[in-house]
Amino acid sequence: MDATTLLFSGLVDVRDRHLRMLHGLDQAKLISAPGPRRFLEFHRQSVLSLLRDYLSSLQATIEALKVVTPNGFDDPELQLDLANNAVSNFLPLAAEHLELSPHLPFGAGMREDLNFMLFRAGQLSLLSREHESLVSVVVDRKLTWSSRSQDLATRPAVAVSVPWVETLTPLRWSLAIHELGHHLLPDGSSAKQWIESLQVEHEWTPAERAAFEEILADAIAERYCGLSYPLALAREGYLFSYAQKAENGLSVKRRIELMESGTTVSHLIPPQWNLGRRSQDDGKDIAVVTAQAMRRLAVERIGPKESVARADFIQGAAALLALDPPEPVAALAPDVPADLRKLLDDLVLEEKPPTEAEATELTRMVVQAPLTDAEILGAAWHNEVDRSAADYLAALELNVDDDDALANAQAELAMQDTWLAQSLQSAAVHRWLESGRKRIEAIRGSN
Amino acid sequence: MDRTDWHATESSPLGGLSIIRRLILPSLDSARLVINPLVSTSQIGTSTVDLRLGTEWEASKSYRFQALDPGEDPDTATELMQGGFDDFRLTAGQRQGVVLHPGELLLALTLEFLQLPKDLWGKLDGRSTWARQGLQVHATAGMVDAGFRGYLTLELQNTGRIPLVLYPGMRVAQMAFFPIKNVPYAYAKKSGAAYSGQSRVRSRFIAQPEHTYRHIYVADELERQRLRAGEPEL
Repeated sequence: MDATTLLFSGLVDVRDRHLRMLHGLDQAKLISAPGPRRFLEFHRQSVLSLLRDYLSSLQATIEALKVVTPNGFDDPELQLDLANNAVSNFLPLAAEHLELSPHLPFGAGMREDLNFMLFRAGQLSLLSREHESLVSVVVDRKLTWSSRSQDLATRPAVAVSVPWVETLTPLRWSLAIHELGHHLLPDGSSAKQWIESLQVEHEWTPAERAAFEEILADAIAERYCGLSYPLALAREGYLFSYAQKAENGLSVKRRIELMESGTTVSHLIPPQWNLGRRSQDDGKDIAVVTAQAMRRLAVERIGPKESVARADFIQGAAALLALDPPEPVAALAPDVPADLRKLLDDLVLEEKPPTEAEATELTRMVVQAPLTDAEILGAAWHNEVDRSAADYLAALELNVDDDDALANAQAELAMQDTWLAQSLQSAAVHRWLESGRKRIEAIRGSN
Repeated sequence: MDRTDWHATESSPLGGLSIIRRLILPSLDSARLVINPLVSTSQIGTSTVDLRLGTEWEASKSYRFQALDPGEDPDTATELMQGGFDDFRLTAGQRQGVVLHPGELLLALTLEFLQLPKDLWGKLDGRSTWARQGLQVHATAGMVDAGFRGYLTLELQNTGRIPLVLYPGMRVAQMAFFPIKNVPYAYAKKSGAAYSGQSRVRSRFIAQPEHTYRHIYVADELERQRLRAGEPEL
């Protein structure tokens, strides 16, 4: 992964946002009444037309890029053209999203998956009636992520607004966890109350307070989602840089630099994404020292990382998602000790039954440790941003007037999204079963 | 070791040790069997692997159907199928499960993602503990082709008289694996393979040739009748 591949992955991402919207509209049409279906078909044609415009507008620059730098694709000026092209073609898509939303019959499926993920991230219990009422997902007409809360007696009730098309894309659900982090600390208490007390204590200006709110929510999202969060934030920051508010006191670039895993990402961010800009008014970031002190405050409060993404598990998750596993290629199964592998081979070849002890040991080899959400999302993001520039350019050559090619591209993305959602859910059940097993063992041990 | 040697040692059905060996092969080995997640050792039997209820479910809105008629215009039938089902999710540790009432059919995905190599096919069946309570896990569609990849859809039916409450993670099904030789193509390449790579529980109504024939025949016959009645050709 480098700045060039990250930039090209961003171009494909804008293509994919169009394709996901087309897929979502196709699905919505199937369960709509004939009237709304007409409108949905009209908007489908509009999105298709926007996609056609976007891809054709990129082609001239891509051809020029191939001539100028046939091997590296790294001409900064042409790359800037491409990045600007992506942003300017994203804006009409956002407008289309706003227009079509009233005609959508909202399916509950993916939203339930997202809701469950927010519960996991917020350490809320689905057995608790009180907790059940604390978090809700609202489908938004706008393509931006937002949230609001109401303080109840003990803790806040939070509504996270997610753009309709993003409810179909678990890849960016870490941004919903960031929104949750604006209101709810991992121990279940109110973030706002804590922030208010800090503002008084440290005499923060409104800009500094707003900066701290972002730093805290970033820390919470990173704690749960690992590297996938700064990657998602960088993408969102570049596409929405036109809409950044001046008063939050921090650029997206600075926010990413502050994160632990963001230090890796910040070195890779293409300068053409212009993430250092805070707003169109170009206000200044708060001082680095202040921001770092704020980050320390936030991390101290939320505690150590909940889930450390294990490299071999990310490889396992990639295999589960049927993605190309990251290098070096590894087995999905746990690393099997050589002596056990030999024992197994001998037993099979000689058609000998194992002893009871051997059978127990051999069976234990295939039991898997549960994957975390961070690992599964990490594998999906790896596939998203770590391909060759040539691969991304090939994806941008999609001919939208070829019905089969378009249908295949849509189906491939839909498959990735649904497998990702399903894997997150399956892993959650696996972790839950594992914790139950450990609890039972502990009870038996104490007796 | 030469892979062909130990393939020859696999009898039918595939024994527990062979299953284990298939499961621990490296990820790029074409003979590898994937079942993920495997949560506990108790899932591995002498010749079967237990499967669990997953998190994605589907129930039909029977009030929307007069009948499911494969001879219907394929577009209408597809539309009816898509709009005639409720899909919903459950997750771990929820307060409420799904109540499967006597005689009712529910579809649920397995918790496990399965990937069968080209030289293994699978046979899905229920587990006796649940069978004794009347729970069936498939309605005559228990074969899994060599090369299948995805989550399996269980066709859950309560044939007993007492409602059953079901939760994700429960071990309700088992699968036996059998070796097969000389498969010319994998399931995904099969004409009309509707469920390869599936991850959604949704039923699909694929317009199979037999259904299309009937539809064409009916349209043809109506046209003939119109012409016989002296109406102009369409």
